[in-house]
Amino acid sequence: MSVVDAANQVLLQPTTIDEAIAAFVGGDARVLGGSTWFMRHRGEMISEGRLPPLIDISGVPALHRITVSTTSVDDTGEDRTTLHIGSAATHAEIATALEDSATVPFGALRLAAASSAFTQVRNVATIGGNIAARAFVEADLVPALVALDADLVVVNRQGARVVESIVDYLDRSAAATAELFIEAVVVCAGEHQRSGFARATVRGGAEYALVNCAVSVVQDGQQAVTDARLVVGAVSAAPTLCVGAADELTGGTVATRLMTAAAAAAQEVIAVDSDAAPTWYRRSQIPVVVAAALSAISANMFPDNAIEETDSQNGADRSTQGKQESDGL
Amino acid sequence: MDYELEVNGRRHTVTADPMTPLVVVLRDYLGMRGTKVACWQGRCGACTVELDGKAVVSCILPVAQAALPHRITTIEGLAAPGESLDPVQEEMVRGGGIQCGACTPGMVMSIHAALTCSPALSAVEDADVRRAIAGNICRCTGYQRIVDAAMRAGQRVRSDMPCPSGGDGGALR
Repeated sequence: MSVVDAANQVLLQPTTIDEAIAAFVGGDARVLGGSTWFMRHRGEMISEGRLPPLIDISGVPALHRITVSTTSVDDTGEDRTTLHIGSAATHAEIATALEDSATVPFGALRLAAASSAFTQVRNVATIGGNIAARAFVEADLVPALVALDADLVVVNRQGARVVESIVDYLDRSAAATAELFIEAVVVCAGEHQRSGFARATVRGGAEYALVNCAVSVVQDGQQAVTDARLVVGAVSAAPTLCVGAADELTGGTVATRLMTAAAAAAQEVIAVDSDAAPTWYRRSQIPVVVAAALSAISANMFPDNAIEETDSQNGADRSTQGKQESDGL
Repeated sequence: MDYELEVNGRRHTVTADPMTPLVVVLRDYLGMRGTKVACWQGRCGACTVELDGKAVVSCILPVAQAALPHRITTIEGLAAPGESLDPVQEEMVRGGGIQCGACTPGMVMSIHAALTCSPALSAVEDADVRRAIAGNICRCTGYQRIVDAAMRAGQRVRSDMPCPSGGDGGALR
């Protein structure tokens, strides 16, 4: 592990997980992933005299690891596909890894990783950073992880390794600096699990989301939804798990319950103003984005393919280009 | 702290604070002024370079994260003075994809990274290019001439050419 001691910045660059943990435990260093968030706010930290020591985990190969395995689920005894994503895995690495057919249930995470920001940022920004940057309410991976009911494996300052659901993590008031993320773990919820993701921006390209939505459903053999998780993000301080919208989906098919679920989600989310758009506009986009995320389930879309939207006014189908880079230039 | 960088195939040693943005090292320490900087927020793409063949914005990339064993390619690395221009550069000039030039090096690097390391060079379409350059803002051209130039360059670059940076730079599918 190299130790850099400059006049203004201490940067530790471990090369193994054990080195990263050793640097983290008992100290006050913050963890650095792809640096995209930190470098944008470093000037503020310097002027406020609060430049922390840093642990750069981008050079730990084991933390870039993305693996798919089959594990036995304790309460059912069934074998379930399980996804492990190291905290330093970049958006681009995740999107590429999840193109495998074995990871179809995790489509929401693939779409989120492939459509967030733009190429240059996706190549360096990490899943760990996306989770830990709590002030970054527009984070795209977090709603997807919540919809997929992910667990986070973290090491705290006392050196204990803890497994915690991402929902519990987000509910806690403790600062993100209190843990070192090791990996996110997602267990497939059932044989017929499918998930989708969509986001809305102002111009379509290279922007933070005004609204994003991730949804995961488990279906029976007739495509009726038996369980659902629907999450709306980017409009509130934290992603909203829309229980009412999920209830609307349960018992019917995605296609037949799409509009009622979208409407229900809009009622559950408390949108706040942002510099990009006023509250009324963001609220108006919630049902549109929810409908798009649900449509993505049906089609198992890549983000730059057409996403069909259903016009509730006249029942017509309208196809638009995917929510990201193919628009707005 | 001393950092050893490989830029365009050549090794350089610089002394810098670890969080010094790579674009500052390239321009001010190494004198490579081809890479431009505008927003300092990693939002406009003007500072795009290739890191291990992948397009990255160098204004928010610390030099500590770009040092060896990483390989950096800048706009200067595509063609040395007196050499033939890279196909992307040639088509941008030929097709009027350049006006003020502020976005051009970053734009060329994004396109180069996407085309050179893409497995589907024979199927470059408008939407593919627009996705690849979504992080590069141009205030002058309206993008269409840039997109057309990229598509022509894509037709010229053979899919069996090795990626010069040895990595996966592509946003194209």
